[in-house]
Amino acid sequence: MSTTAPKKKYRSQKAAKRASLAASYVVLTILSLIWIIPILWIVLTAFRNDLNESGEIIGTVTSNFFPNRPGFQNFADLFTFKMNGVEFVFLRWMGNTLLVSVVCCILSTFLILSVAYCISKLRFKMRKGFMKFSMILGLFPGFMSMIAIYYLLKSIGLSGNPDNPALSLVGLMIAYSAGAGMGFQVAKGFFDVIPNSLVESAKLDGCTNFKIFWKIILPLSKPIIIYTALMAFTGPWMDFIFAKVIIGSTNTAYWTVSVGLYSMLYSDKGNPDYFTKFAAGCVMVGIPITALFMFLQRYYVEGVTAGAVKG
Amino acid sequence: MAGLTLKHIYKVYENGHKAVNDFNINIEDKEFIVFVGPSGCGKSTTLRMIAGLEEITAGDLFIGDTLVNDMEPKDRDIAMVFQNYALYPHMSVYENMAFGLRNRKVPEEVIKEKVLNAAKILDIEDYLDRKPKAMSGGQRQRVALGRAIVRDPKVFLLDEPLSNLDAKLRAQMRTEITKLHKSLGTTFIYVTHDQVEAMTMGTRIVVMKLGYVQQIDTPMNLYNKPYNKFVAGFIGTPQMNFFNVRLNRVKDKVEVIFANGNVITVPYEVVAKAPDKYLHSGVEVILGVRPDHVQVSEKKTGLCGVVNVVEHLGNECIIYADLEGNVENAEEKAEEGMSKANSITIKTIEGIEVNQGDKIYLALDPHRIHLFDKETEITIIEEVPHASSFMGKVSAGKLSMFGKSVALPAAVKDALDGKGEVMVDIPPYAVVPGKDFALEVHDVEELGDVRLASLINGDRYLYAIVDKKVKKGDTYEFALHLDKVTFHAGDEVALAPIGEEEALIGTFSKADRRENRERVIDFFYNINGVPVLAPRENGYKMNQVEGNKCYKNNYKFVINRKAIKLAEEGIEGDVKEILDYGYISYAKLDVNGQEILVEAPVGLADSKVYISFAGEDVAVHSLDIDMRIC
Amino acid sequence: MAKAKQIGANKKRNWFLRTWDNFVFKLEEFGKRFVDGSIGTKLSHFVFGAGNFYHKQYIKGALFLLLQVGIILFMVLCPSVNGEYYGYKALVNLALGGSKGGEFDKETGEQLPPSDDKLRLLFGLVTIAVIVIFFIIWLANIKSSYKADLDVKQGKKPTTFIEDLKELLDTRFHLLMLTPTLVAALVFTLLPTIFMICMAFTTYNDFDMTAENTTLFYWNGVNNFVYMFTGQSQLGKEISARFFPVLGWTFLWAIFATFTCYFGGIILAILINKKGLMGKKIFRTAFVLTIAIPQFISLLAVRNLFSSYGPVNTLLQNMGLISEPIGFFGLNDNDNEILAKVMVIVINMWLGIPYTMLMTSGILMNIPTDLYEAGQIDGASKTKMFWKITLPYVIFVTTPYLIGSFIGNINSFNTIFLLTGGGPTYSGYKAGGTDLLVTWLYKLTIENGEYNTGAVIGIMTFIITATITLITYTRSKAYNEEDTFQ
Repeated sequence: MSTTAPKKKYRSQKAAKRASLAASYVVLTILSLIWIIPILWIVLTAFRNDLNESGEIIGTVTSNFFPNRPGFQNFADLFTFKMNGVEFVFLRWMGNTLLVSVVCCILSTFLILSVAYCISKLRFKMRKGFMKFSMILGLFPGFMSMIAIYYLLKSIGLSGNPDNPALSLVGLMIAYSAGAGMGFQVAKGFFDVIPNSLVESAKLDGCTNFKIFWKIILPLSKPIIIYTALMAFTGPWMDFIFAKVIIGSTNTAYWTVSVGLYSMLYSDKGNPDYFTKFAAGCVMVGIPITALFMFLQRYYVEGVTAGAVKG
Repeated sequence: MAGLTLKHIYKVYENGHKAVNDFNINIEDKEFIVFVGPSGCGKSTTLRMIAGLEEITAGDLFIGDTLVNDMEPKDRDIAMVFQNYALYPHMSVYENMAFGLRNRKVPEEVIKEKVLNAAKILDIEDYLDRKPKAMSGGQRQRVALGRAIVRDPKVFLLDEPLSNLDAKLRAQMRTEITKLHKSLGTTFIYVTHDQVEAMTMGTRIVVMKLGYVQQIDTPMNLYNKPYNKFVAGFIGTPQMNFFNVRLNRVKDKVEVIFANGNVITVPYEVVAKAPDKYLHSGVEVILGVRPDHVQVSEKKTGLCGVVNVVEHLGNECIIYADLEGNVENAEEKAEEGMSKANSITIKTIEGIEVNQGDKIYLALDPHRIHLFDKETEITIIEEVPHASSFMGKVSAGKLSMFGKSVALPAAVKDALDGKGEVMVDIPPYAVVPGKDFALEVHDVEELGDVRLASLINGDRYLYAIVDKKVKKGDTYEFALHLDKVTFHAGDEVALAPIGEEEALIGTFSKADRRENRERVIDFFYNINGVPVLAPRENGYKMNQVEGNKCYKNNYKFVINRKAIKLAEEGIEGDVKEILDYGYISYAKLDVNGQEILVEAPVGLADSKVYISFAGEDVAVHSLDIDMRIC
Repeated sequence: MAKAKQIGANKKRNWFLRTWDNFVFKLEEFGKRFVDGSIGTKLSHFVFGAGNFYHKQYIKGALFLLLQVGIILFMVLCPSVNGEYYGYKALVNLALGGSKGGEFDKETGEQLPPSDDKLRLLFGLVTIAVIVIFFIIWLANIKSSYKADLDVKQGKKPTTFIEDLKELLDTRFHLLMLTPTLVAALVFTLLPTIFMICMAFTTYNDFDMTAENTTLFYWNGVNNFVYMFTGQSQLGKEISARFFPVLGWTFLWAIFATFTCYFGGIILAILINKKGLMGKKIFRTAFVLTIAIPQFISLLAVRNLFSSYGPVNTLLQNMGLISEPIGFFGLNDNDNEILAKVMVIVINMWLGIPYTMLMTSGILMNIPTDLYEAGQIDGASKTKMFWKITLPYVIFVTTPYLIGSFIGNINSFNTIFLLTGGGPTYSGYKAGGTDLLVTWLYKLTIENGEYNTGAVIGIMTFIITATITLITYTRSKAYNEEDTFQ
């Protein structure tokens, strides 16, 4: 008799566990749906080729969630399309963005990692001063400096240069990468966790500081290198304000995708009719970026955690 | 291969925390030195300063004969084994060991030979291709050692290398490191918090606490002659028992009276070197006795306790007992960190039948007891006693002591006139050959360089440092250097001894001059506006340690009194008094408000004199923090 | 003895005095260097690199000389871009303020074109920066020469160029590594920031960014600040009427946005990481999608999803819950402001929660298991363990993130700009109901050319964020113990 009581308790515990697990499934499923619906909707819209009474494709936002007539017309339009007189060179935009982001990725990663290493592992006179300087500078709203950056770039011909508008892209690369070194905190947090004794040991082994960085720290920092590179790479795909100001609204051939997509809807050249094409463009941009992200998710999490924990 | 010398080493962090205070040691070549102490005692900091990983705030560090304070770690020719091994995770064992040599551009064949050789010594030949991650803690430890071995360093530094291993492995590695030390014949400096490691491995041990060196000695000396209560408690397991006791001398015995009323007696010889003031049950002292030196007695003794716990360890057994008797404010004492005031640990051989609750009688080995002052916690039985105290009588300018009566020099006479009975603390070195007194030599001890004679005076001994001629049974004729003794009248100090050093406060400055059209900087200590040329290297040290503020701040200049001379010009002082001690005389000077004593002839008639001394004889101390800068 | 102690006491000087002392000391050293240095060092006070040439360090000397010549040429020749000058002319222009367009040239009688005032201010600042750099190079060149002097005096050879380079790889590695970032930050962050601060003290405002039309800029002292707070001038009145509401909403937003995402993320992470839950990866992927997809895409998608003719409004209408489409995001003037505010916070949760979830998942896996085991042995229940172990640990570890994310939210531009555009529009000057200080700043400057007013608001925003940051960071453990020695 005495054995039944605990058994019963055990059984009820198990039941409670199962119930709470079931509740978790329900909640998580609902939440995931909420999270996915907007994205799903954009994807569906991209494939929407619904026709109106006069047999034209409806390009605006419509009330139906699922397309009545699915098709690839929107994607096709992206490459052969003129909107309000603007040549629609989506592929070219993709290429521009890729070029900018690759260069940015290399430059920014180099700057961030080198600064983070210095701040984390070296001790020099201006170290605290540099940290304070970067913190204070980071607190100024970016927009005001944007205007000055535009004119600076312009004055050296890297923005709004009528002879060679392609140089705007170079200007954009510089603008994106220049401030990168100041965002060293996440990488510093990661480097801080690498035991100091490794650095000291290498010092006793006769390494210069450069060699320590190159032969000890970098080989151990794969996650943070990937995280930093990922962040730097995706930046140009997401920003549209800086890009718009620096490249200018007239040089459509040198736009980045985000400027192009944003302009399709919300500019003097935009039109609510382009929404389905906008959605197609979003899918085109979203797929590679999302894939890259998902592929490198592990490193992203590591970076985010390092950044959060060490600030 | 080289020895190491640390002279007045300090480490002070920017926030003012002093991690290491005035560390002095001379390490011989091939020694195995262990730094031991609880965490935060500065042992690791000291090691890291030796390695060059931490800057030395003040002091000089020599490896061999080279001053290495400003030398890069890689140029110091040292190797270090870290607590967490610090193996490069992305390199194989071979690469880890070869890395340091490759950086030094050693040819690849030599590297290979050295690595294989080290691997053989450490028995890790089979793992050379593995990454550290795929190895056990003990194997990693070996790799870390191997990485140090291949470098053939002058000095081997080990920072708690065994603390990440389990107990069994630790014991094994302990013997291996000792063996390694023997076979390599290199100086080893080993940091640990584990006193067992320290005792088993070190040829000498440095015990540290809160940045201060407590004692530097061989393991046996640390165990048998701990300098203070901390060392006594830190070395040895189970920990030494401590009790608050009073001592009372009864003829040739001394009663040890415990706080709970228990009394045991020990022979007087055991405590003969203790100052007399402790022996009249007036002052509480701390009695320390190791569990090994307490025995359960068959006979009834003055000390009894009730068994609390018995731990059988097979070959020996440890008994924890509570002392019987009422203990006044026992709890209060327990808080003070006494080993629970009335509890005692006994380590004895197996075979004694005791059980919890039994009442047992305890016997202490009287020759293995330790006594510490309650305030300072320093032992009161020093090998060369601080001073021995005797009563004397002053009357009509004469001091009667040791059955003789001698005329007092003027300075003593003035201070003691009319005091009558005085207590005289006589340090052994104040007893010098002379004709004033004569006592029989009871015994002569050879303590290293010194010969310490105990002279019989009544039922007690006067200790004196004597030369080789003096033998047991002689009658030793001696005099006293009265400037080195302390006279007590009642509870007051009637005349204090005169120390070896004087301190003056002043500033530091520099000045340029031209020498063959080259600019030369001279540094000066300024006392009362009078510059004293400082050694140039001290000038640089001041700049290095104190920065720009060295020209603004005040400093304490400590000068050996022997170095201070009266001169034609120099620092001005008003003569306030002439102190005549017979064999020597001093002038008491007022140097702008600072009082100092200077050796001076009795006949000094001037009211103003000038003193001078060489900059080389001056030690500069910081006033902000208690630190000797150079 | 008492007197001696008084003599001995070293007074701790305050920061200003210490800095002044240091400065005087440096000045003395500077003087000494001139007096004691070799001919080369003396000469290098006037000709850069002279000392290096003297010590046969030709490459270094040539580099210094080149810099000196370059900068002097820059100052004298005054290169111009778009008709605006650098060099000494820029300094004159900076001091005088803008030229009045439309004036007539006295000699030719031609009408002068108006100046480009943004450039005028900017070029003036650049020129000042160049002068500062000139000064720094000057000092470095003297120091370098003097160091060679000392080496020679001590019987050593002056360092060769190769040795200098090697030193850059070791003891001065930080110089090599930080210089690119510092230069970039100076040019592209500090200079623009000073530019912006300067704007707040000018009359500069124009309605077109492309500078075809130009209004004039004059130094205006603190008038812009005064106008804003006293409400003189029509613009000042409208701005000051809106400043505190916008500030209040910015704070409210930052608090809500931070804490909803923070705790939402923690809860979600705990749900997903529940023991025995299957398909963790699938769930996680669903949430992480919002991070992976470029933010402007997902935000614009949501905006359109909730638009008047979008699926949500239609669905609600079909269900009979509403008769007219709702303006969720206050895009029309008479839309509900509260609803718009709630919506941006909710959508921000949609964006932010996955981020915290990912981070917390990482941390949850790192919680030392012995904490839980101890809890289990003590008989603590699951909920109790969550409240007593999990949550405190996570919060403890993520405090720096929390502070950072609060500051980030104060300056959160994308969410507001892309969802509501600051709407619903308010009668006051340019600031809508959901406008934050930053989006307001954007509207004032980029959209409306009110640069000086925008700069004033920018400075206010900076002061607020800086105050919060300094207070919280300096008090947080991570900052204070950053350098503690283990």
